[in-house]
Amino acid sequence: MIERRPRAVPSSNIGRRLMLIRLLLDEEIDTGKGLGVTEVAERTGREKSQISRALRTLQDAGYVDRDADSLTYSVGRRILQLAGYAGNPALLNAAYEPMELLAARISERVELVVESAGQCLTVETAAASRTIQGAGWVGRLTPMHSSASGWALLSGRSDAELAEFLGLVVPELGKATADEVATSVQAARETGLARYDHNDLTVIAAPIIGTGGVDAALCLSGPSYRMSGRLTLAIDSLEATVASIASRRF
Amino acid sequence: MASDRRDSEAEELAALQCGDELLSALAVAAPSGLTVSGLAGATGTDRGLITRVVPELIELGFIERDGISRRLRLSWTFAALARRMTDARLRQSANPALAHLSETVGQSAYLVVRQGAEAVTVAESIPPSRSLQLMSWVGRSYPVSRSDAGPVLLSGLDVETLRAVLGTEILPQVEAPKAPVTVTELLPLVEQAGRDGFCVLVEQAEEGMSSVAARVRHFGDRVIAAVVVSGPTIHMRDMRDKLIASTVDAATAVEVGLGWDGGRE
Repeated sequence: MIERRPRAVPSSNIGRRLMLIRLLLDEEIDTGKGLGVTEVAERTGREKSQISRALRTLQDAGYVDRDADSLTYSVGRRILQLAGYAGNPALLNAAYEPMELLAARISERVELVVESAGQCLTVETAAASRTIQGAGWVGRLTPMHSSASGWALLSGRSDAELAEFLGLVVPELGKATADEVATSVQAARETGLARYDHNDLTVIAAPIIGTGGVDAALCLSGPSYRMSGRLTLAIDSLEATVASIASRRF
Repeated sequence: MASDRRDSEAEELAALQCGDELLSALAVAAPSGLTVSGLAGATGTDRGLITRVVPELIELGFIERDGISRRLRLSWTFAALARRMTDARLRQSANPALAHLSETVGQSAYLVVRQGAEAVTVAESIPPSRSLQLMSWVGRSYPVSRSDAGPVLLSGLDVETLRAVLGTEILPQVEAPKAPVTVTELLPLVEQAGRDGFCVLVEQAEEGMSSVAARVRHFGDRVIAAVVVSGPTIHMRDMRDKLIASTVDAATAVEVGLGWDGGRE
């Protein structure tokens, strides 16, 4: 899931305001609840009076809401309005129907994955039923070097960019693994498809190409015993879905 | 002292306005984004301040550099965080809305979501007088085509997708003589729900029962849930208009908290 590493307190006034927003976002994701002034002050190591004033100003601007009963603050309307423009909303809209269609036809989990700070971030999912558990995967992070989505995303890089990426991961993974990544990315470039088999899971992913290059990957994953018998159908459907998303974008 | 407080309040407001201008400019420029100079130009903000603030906002997960163009934009992480937050809030904020609704109309109220071809009840409020008679629906799933919320939950989909989601033309059977038997019979209800934002079913999901369902959308302008009121037709018949108004009000109360802003152009 999206990382919660401790952060340095931002030095700018704007950064400090938005740190409060991030704190409230994380809290509500984790607990479904807001935070009171005292809790915010404790977690940020700042004076209650400062926090109280900052939250009041944020409230006036619609950035946070205050619950009159619990006296806790949570993220406000203005932030969600801005979030509606985050990432690439046109891509999300274009992908929605084709992803539902693919999930219905193949009955496995479908994910839309983008690169975020050197990792794969799931930004949308679709599933044919609850047992396949499509929900709850938005926000999931996986390493670029060890996932079909990552290879599909990397397939849009030039040789120099790929070499740079591999150069960064080599110290961590060793050269043998880096070579395997290079081979997988090369296969994805040639065929437009990345495939990853691990334990009992089979994952296939295809790059989605926007105006500037590969800007997302569409990924279909399921237990190998279900996927193996109809892999050709799954691949054809995945490719048709990527084409359908592309045709809806422009 | 008083002037100190005024100063810091003024400072507070200035920082917020400046931050809001930066984020708004990036929202306007979505999805292609802006360069640092473009952002400075669009907001009239000092370039030096922007180069200082940008790394902090990237670290906090609100903005990112596009991997290809290197331009700044509101980040995918921000979009994913907002999605996860609204998922959590949907369940929390539904409870008071459902309690108010069931109290107002004296019938059971539910929040229902769709997962593929299934409808799942995620929250409910049953009037005290009936709670002994009715078992809880929370956590149970059933075919979406047979749910009171079905037409509303399917209303975001085009016909081809809807048919694929439902799978077969013949719908699962149900003990309700007036229920649509095929997808073709269900479609007009879905279209109507898409136009109105709500759906009234009289004995079409269960014999002797009627319901009103209203859609719940989130900041991304998508139908993600339905608020449903359901009860015996003999109790529901004479209060149709009140039921519709109360159910739509409850759904609106929920979607306001999810950042739905009336839809963008």
